[in-house]
Amino acid sequence: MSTQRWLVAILAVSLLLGTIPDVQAQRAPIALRVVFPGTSEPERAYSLRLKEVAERRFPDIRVEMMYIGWPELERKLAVMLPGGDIPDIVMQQEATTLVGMKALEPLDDYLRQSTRLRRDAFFGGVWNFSVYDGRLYTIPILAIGYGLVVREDLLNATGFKLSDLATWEDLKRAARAMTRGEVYGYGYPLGLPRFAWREGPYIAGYSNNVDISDTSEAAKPRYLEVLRLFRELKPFMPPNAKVMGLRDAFQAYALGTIGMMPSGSFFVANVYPMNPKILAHTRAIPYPRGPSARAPWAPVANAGWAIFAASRNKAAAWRVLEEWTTPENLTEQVALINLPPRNDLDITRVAVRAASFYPEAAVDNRRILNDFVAAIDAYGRPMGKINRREEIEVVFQQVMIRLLDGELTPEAAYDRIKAEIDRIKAGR
Amino acid sequence: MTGSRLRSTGSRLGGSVVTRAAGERADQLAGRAFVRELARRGFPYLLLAPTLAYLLAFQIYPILYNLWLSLTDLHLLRSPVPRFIGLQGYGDLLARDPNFWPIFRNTFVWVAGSTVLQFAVGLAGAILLNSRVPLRAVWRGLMLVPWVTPVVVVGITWRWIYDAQFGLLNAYLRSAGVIDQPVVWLGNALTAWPALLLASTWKGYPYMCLMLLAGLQSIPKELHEAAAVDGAGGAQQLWHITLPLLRPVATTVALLATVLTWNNFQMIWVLTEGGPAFATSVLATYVYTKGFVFFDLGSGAATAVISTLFIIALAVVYQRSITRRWETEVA
Repeated sequence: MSTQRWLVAILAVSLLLGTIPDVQAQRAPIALRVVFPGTSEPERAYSLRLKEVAERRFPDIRVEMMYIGWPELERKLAVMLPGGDIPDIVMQQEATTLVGMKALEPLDDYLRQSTRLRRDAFFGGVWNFSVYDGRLYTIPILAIGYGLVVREDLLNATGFKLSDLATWEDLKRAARAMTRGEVYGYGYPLGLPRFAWREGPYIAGYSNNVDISDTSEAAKPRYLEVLRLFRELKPFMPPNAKVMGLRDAFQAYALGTIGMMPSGSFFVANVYPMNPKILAHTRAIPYPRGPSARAPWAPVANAGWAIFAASRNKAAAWRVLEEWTTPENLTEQVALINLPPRNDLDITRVAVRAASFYPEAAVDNRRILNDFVAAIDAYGRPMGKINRREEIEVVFQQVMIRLLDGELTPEAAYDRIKAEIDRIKAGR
Repeated sequence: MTGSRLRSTGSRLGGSVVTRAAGERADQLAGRAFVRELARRGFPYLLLAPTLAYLLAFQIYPILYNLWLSLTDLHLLRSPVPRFIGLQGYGDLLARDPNFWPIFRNTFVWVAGSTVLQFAVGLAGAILLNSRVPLRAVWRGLMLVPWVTPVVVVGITWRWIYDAQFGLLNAYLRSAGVIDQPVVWLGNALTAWPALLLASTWKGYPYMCLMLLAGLQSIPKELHEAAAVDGAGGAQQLWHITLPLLRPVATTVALLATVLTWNNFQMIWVLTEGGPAFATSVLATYVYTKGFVFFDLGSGAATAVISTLFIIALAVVYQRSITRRWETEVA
């Protein structure tokens, strides 16, 4: 009998022990999957720091970083989301596509209840880029300004000064003067639709008071001026412009074969690994103004964190977002790439951290970013949000190639662009 | 022994207990026999089950799902909830999409060009490696390098070779005085296709060569010796002996190369992404562009179905012509 009691006792203890994993399972940490588009080594190191910050601050959360490069981001998410593979957090620049897919969670209610995150801590123009149809979808972590990057030494060698680049006429004259032998005055990455659109007529259009997704009759004369500008700049573009992506254009710039090119404030982060010395001769200015503008407008966008609408861990994701967007944690991100989104960041600390990321060009990096800040400060305008932009960019690229090949006149090119954009906007 | 026979044996023994026991025993044996029979017949199905499950999950289901998608207007931005539209998507693609027919033509250029060039280079290589060249084993090994190199690596390498500003090809041609201005190999309609076909041939010819070499080695030497005795030269032997006897292998590898090239998405995507402006797009890249660049999954699925139907038709025609020729020869 005594043996039986022992057996019962052992059985009872075993059963109790058997329940322990369930208790542990209930307390298992929340696994957050974060889509991180930066793939360079510094960005990867930064992402690991973010993971560490989140896990230290919230012991009940584990962060898994998923690295998908910017060019592939939307394409891969387009496969993952309909298939039910839903991550929790994603970094976004222009979130029009994911907002259009209803894939992102509106963050207004979270913000309203937050005690840690305040809207007024952010620059207004930068914040507004996160708002789509009146609803907030991302929390900005970077401001991105766009302008014209110039090799000042090459420009000066032709007798021009930076301050001479005020109008499109100046731009054309400088591009012509800088084009010598293997060096081409103007870089335009026409090879990939995204950049054929943005790092070209879109940025230029801002400085002529036209958003090139606008096909209204009122915008037509200014639109045509943009197309004529690129047609006239063609002889000063590298011969391989038609197959250049943005990375190729950065490479060509880093190797010293491009004199000027439109770019965003992520320029240094991209060119530094290729040739840090070229930054000593680089300046950034607002894109010179066109004939229909009085001022050279500079488009401003942002990058920010968003939460997926179908995430099962939205509350935890929001807690992490609050932590990642504190001034302390944004300092490193801003130092690594681009401009501050918040007005309360300690710029001295940002500069110190930036010097550690760009040791061979600390001063140059600061000067170029200051150039972008000055341009945004004086001429910044929020970048437009364009529905079905990806499709528009493809047809636009097709027409631009034919325009620059001389197959289409600017007028014929405009008619084709208008027809295609109108068709896409009409949902056909 | 069946249950009924056992039962009759039991009744012959007379006792009811004995009869009952014998009946139960008979039932047990019948049950075991059934299980054994089931196991015997079912075992092959059990072995096949994993493969069948795999085919159903990863081949049949996706094909049927794609077919269904092609009959809907699913667009991740425009109409995220798929609506059945029947064959309208096909109609739009064939009649109203300005890119479809040029891309369809591109696909034929790509497939025919790649297959013919791979075959020609592969055959020449096979004949060479079948002869007594010095260091034959080394050449055979080296020949396989392009084949075992990943397509993406091959694509990136060729992209750098073709680069207009920094590419090796332009550098050599300029140093040799052939050109004085850089050629944008992948950005010009006249040069993009030859450039792509060269890269595709380099990647694909070793497989052809290997298969044709195996075919060549199966041709009895006596036939060549007899032909030589009869006074046939090398070219005549090639034309009248080697090529006819190589035909079964040649047609098989040509069919395989056709199918593989038709679906070869990676090479074009890495080299040109189908650009500039769809100039080097083929159906495989267009399916991707439609689905995952334009998010138009319905139209992308329809493009995939059309592409599949054409390659099936091509394979059937190919196979029939081979079979007919074989039957004629046998007759």
